[in-house]
This record gives sequence, C-alpha cells and structure tokens, in this order.
Amino acid sequence: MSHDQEIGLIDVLRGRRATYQFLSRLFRTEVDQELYDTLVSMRFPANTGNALVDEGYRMICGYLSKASGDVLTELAVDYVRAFIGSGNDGFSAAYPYESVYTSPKRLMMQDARDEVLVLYRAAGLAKQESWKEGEDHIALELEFEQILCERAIAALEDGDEDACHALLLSQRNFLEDHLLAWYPMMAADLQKFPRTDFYKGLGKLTDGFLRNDREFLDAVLSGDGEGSDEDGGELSCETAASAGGASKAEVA
Amino acid sequence: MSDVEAFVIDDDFDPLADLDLDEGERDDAEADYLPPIPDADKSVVPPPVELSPAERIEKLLSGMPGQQFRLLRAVELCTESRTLEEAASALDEAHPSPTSVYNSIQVIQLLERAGALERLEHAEAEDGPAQGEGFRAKGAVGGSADAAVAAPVAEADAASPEGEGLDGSFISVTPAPPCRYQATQAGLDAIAAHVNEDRIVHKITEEKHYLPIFQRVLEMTAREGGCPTKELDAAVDGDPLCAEPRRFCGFFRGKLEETGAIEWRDTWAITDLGRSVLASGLFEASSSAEGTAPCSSGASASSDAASFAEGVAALSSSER
Repeated sequence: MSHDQEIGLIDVLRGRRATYQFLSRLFRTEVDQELYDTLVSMRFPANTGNALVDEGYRMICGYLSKASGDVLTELAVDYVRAFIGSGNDGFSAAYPYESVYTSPKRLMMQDARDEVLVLYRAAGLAKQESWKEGEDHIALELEFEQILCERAIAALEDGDEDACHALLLSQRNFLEDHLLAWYPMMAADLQKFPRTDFYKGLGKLTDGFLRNDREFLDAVLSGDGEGSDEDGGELSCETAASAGGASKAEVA
Repeated sequence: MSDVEAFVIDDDFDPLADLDLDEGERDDAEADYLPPIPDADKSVVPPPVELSPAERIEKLLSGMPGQQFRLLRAVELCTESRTLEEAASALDEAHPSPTSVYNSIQVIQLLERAGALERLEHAEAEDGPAQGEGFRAKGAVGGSADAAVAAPVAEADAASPEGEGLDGSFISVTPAPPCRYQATQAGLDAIAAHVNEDRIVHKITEEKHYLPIFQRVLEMTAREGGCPTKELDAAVDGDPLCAEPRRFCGFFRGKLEETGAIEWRDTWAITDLGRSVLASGLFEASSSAEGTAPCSSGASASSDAASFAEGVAALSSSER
C-alpha cells in the first residue's frame, strides 16, 4: 500500500468513524440542544451514490429545514414513539435491540446480547455504569464499530498494516454477523412508527450506510488479501473512496 | 463416609429420556434461529382514527380542562394571521400561565395539530412575492417534501466558489421560512361554542336557588385584585343555602371556572365574560322572581333551568 493510498484510506476510515459516531449518538438518546445546533450547522452529502443514504440525509435535512417552534420536544416525543412505543406486545415500536429481532419471542437480553458482550470484552471494552440498557442496543453496536475504526486508524498511522487488516476484518465480521443480520428489519420498522421525517430518515441513512460499509470493507479486505498485486490495491482504494462517500457529512 | 460418597451424582440424567420424544418436540432441543421473524407481519402500526377538526378540537379541550380557555384564547388571538413568536408572546401577555407544563409555543402547535389553527407556509409571499415565487419554483423541482432542501442545494450549486457540481454538492439546513398561523373555521366555531354567556347562564341556573351564591362569588372576584380562595370559602361555606345538601365553595367556583366566568390569576378573578353575566340582570331577575314565586329545590329546579336561562338570555341580549 503506497503512502498516498494510506492517506486516502485513513481519510475514508476517519469518515466512517465520524459517521458511526454520529449515528450512534442519534440512536442513543433524544436530540438535545447541543446536537441540534450541530445538526443545523452540518453539511450533508447530496449524492453519495447510495440511494438510501441520500434519501436519509435529505429527509433529516428536510425535517430540520421545515421544523419550527419546540423542535427538541417534538423530536423527543418522536424518539419515544420510534424506539420505546406504548404497547407491551413486542410490536409497538422499532425496538433498538438485536435480541428483539433475533429471538423468536422478541425478547430483550437474549443470545444476541450475550454474543456481543463476549465480543466487547474480547476487545477490552466494558460498558459504563451510566448505561442501563442491554449491550445489544444499536447505539452500542455502532459505537463498537466506531472504536474498531479508531483502532484501525491508529494502527495505520503507526504503520502496522497487519493490525489494521485484522481490525478491518473484525469490523466486517461484526457487521455481517450482527448489525446487518438484524438492522434491516429495524430499519423497516423505523418507517412505520415515527411521525417525523427525522427518525424515518435516520432509519434509511443507517441502513444505506451499513450496506455501503460492508461493500467498502469487502473491497478493502479483498484488495489487501491480494498482497503485492498493485492493481488490487488501487482498486481497493478507489472503491474505498466511493464507498466511503456516505461518510462525508461534515460540520460546517 | 460422607454424604457425597453415599450418593451418586448422575450428570447425564435426563428426565425426558423415558418419554421417547423426537428432537423436534423437545423444548430444549437446539435450534438455530434465523431471521426473518415469523411474526414480523404483526409489527404494524394501526391506522389512525380519522377525526374531523371539530372532534379533534373537542378532544383536545376536554383532555386539558384546566387549559381550555387558554387554548381558545390562543385561537382567538390568531384570528388574524401571526407568526409563531408573535402568537406565543401575545398569548403569554393575554393569558399568562407560568405553572402550565405547556408553554405558549406548544399550545399553538397542539392547536395546529388539532385543526384549530392552520399554518400558512408561504407567508413570506405577502412581504415579497418575487422571493416567494422563486422558492416555490425551486421546491417544485425537488419534490414537495424536499422543497426546503432543494432550494439551498440549487443555490449552493450556483454560488459555490469551488464550482461543486451536483455530484459533489452538499445540502445544509436552512432556517424554516417564516410561516404564520391563522384560526380555522373549526377553531372559530369552538370559540363560539365554548366562550359565550349562555353557557354560563345555563350552568349556574341548573339549580337556580344557588343564584345568590353564584352572584356573591362573582361580585367578590370582580373586586380590584381578585379574591383569595380562603376569603371565598369563608363567604360561602357558612351560608344556610349550603347546609343541605352540604355544598362548599369549590362546587360553585368549579362551575364558574369551567364555564369561563372566573379564572385563577394568583387569586380568583372575574373574566370579561363573567363580568357581562353579572351585569346582565340575571341575578336581579332571579331575586324578583324569588319574591313572587319561591323556587323549589332539586329536580324541579333543574327542570326549570332551561326556560329560566332562555328568559335571562333574552334579557341579556336585549340589554346588549
């Protein structure tokens, strides 16, 4: 991997890290004033090449552009409507837990939670005391990807390509085994329960970004796997740049 | 010999072994579960119950009985269109409610959702028609839901010094255009239905032998600075009319508050509506009627209420 390619890859990885962080925050808690101020000052990519990502950004941006009055309260109410719901039948909201979507009775704290907990611990991570939800919450799974991204960036900056490769592999495995195994179902529910375009857009954006990210990781890892093949390396970086387009949202 | 040596612990013991169950029938049989979830089709949002604006407004008012006159006042203030900030500050001034969990902006948004107010999206057209036309034209290109987004993108493309094309362009949040709120016909109908003297007259003449009590409460609350609760209680609770059946001041105060004749402003104060009822001659008519035909209590009094109210309403309208 040449120096230029490394710089390009690092930039894409940084973009991915920022996007994972951004998405994780949006799922974790309601939008507060600080986040709202950030959102209205951000620039969102208009054409990433991924229809879901584009539509998600447009819906979020469109909602924020039209919202007036007590936006934070409206978003907080919609957060409850989207992720908590008011029923007890297990079908009243887009529950943000992997266990709900991967257990037959839609229960929390099932096998999926145990599996991700093992992975977090294997990565040397433990949840903070303040976190009272299950570890298979979408926000934590996205944050786990963010942390792996950070480590991959650090490894790349240190010139440790093997460690970087291993971390990217871990990201892809986690993406395939967990996030992409259930999130699309939650994304479908996120089109039903919220009333605002903000959370509907978030559902689409996350869905598109995760699919895009797998394409990116597949491309990078297959390129690295070819070892000294220069064409393969170049291809991986080009693909990385295009696949990473979804991560271009930036704070103005 | 210890107990452990006396018993043999059989780790392989299977209590279901003698039942000859197939693997599929056993609850503990291992089965990998794979999405999609069999009952995923149950994850549906029930269709919303369609209600007319009038029904939604009534539902809102009955759901917030302590706030209904504040809500109606907000509608009244928007008879002529106002921006959200203007309407909120006017409501704060006209009907201050510092203890309510709903601030004025939320009240206006609730009324909009109920259909009592409508949002005039392109209000800027009144101030600058050319600008408004331009906005709509750009919005039409981007689709209705994306109007606010499409416009800045188009502008950014034109103005960007880097010459970002459509492929490389970004979208950003632009402040919502200054929209205005205006009362709908359903909202005005709700005001007409709830804010009127006849409603008060009908309520307080349901048991017309209590008219002197109502009159006393209205007169005390009509004083400069209103009247505190304790003083009202002291003036009413000991009245012989309240002895059998036992009534307390809250009973009368509640009826007057419910119909908008008095309101709480750190003390109990009469409203304009209550003041006009007090000045309508209702109580004088009552006392003169009592002088000629003493009223009976209970059901007969209630049955007389309607005809009595009609008479008083006619009297008050003739005075107006």
